[in-house]
Amino acid sequence: MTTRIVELRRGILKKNDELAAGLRERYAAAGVLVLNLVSSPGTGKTAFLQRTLTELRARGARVAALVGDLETDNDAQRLAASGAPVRQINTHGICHLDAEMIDKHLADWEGVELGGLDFLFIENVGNLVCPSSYDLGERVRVALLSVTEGEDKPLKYPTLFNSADAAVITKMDLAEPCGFDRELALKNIREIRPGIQIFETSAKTGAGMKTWLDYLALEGGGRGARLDGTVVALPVPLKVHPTPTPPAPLPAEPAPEPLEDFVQPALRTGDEGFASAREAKEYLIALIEAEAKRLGEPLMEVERKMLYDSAKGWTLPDMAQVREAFNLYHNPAEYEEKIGGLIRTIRLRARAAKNMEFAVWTEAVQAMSHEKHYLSDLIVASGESVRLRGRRRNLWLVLVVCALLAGIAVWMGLHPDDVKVFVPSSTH
Amino acid sequence: MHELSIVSSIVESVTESLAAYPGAQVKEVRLRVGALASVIEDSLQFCYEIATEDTPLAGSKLVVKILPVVMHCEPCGADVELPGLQSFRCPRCGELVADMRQGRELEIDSIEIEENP
Repeated sequence: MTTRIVELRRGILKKNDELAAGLRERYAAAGVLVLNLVSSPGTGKTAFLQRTLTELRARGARVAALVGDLETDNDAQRLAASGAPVRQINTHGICHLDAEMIDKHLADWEGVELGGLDFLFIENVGNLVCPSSYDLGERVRVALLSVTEGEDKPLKYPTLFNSADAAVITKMDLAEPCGFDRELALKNIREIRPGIQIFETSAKTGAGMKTWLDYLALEGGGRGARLDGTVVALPVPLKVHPTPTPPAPLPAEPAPEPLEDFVQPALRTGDEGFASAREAKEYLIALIEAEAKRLGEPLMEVERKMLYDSAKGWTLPDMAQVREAFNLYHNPAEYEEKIGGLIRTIRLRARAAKNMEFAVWTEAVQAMSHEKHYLSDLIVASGESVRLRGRRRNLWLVLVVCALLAGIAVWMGLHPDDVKVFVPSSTH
Repeated sequence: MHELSIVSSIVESVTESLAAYPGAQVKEVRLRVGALASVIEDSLQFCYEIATEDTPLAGSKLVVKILPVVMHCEPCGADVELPGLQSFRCPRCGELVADMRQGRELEIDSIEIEENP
């Protein structure tokens, strides 16, 4: 008899994970955005999904839904009222959906092809524990929470909320009668899943649905976009579930490349100067925007517009809405860090360039510094010492030096004898 | 609630790897389970006995090692262990942390088997 230890190091749900990875590839190849909706029973997943399906269809998107329940096809019937193809999956006692069930139900779904869809919603079994372990190949996992459930639900079920890419608060129309503490709920969700996007909705009144649909349009690559064609301004989620994205290596020292090789917004030579703070600001923002694009992470609409924020001085006409959207969906510290990084890179590159780039940059920064612009704060936070009105300070320096010289001259005039002491004598 | 499914997967997986050791008897199955894996050890143990009955794993012991959640804190530039699951903040600097390095594991680490030479 010999005892031996065999290292296996094998994922217990390997089979499900492999199947899910295959599904994820198929979804991507078909160009369909797949979302997995998870919540407790009674949160209002079905009502929320029914409204989502109806409104997406009205926007011209092709949608379908798979709905999981232990028994009955009641939910499928309700969802079918939206006009979208819906298929019920009965798990007969199993508390979650798994990749195999999805695979099987997709395979023989009459009249529905992945390639013919823009969005596929999977309504999971009502359960806040088990579904979090089972990857269905979805790109977005949505955790739902209703105002009637209590603000501490995310704290009670951290495993699920932490694995979600988006959170939806449902039944907002009941918030007031329920004494729902909105701030506390948002704080709790963010405490468990920092950076998550949160949507506050009511399937009954339709409140908050527009923002949610805009998010879907954005995630779906523009499908189901607003009918009026206005630009959707929402950030992309921090991570895509569940493949852990390795953190991007920090650019230790951005390689100083010549500036000419990227899209240069209105390259300036430095002789013409900036007529106004607004002009300087627009120039700097264009540079930051181009830099973000060059690094492969273009700024979102809200991120770009926030650069125009100002307490005093020229800003955008819709700044109030921009600020509101920013406060809802962005973390200011992360934003400042991101913009700070871009500014540092631009500065490094401008310094390394042989032309006048750095002088123009400095001039623009200074031209803006006498007004209260958020961009100035961002530039200071990035480590640049902004001299107040550089030219004016230079003028003061010249005046002080002149005054000093004049003083010396006057003193020399009053004491001609003493002056001689300082002059090396050649008369001896 | 889904622990029975998980234990069934363990039985399946271990049985598969036993093919390389004919006649071997399983003494112990060791798991690594992250604190965020949504798995309760007691439920696993409860299901284990039932699920291993009449399988090559019958009579073996299940050892579960729970791994704490480890997050990477950008400001600290370090991997930090969370003391609990109620707040995803760096215990050192208090910043919110979203970059997980450990905590969702659900895997069979190793098995201890007895072989007849």
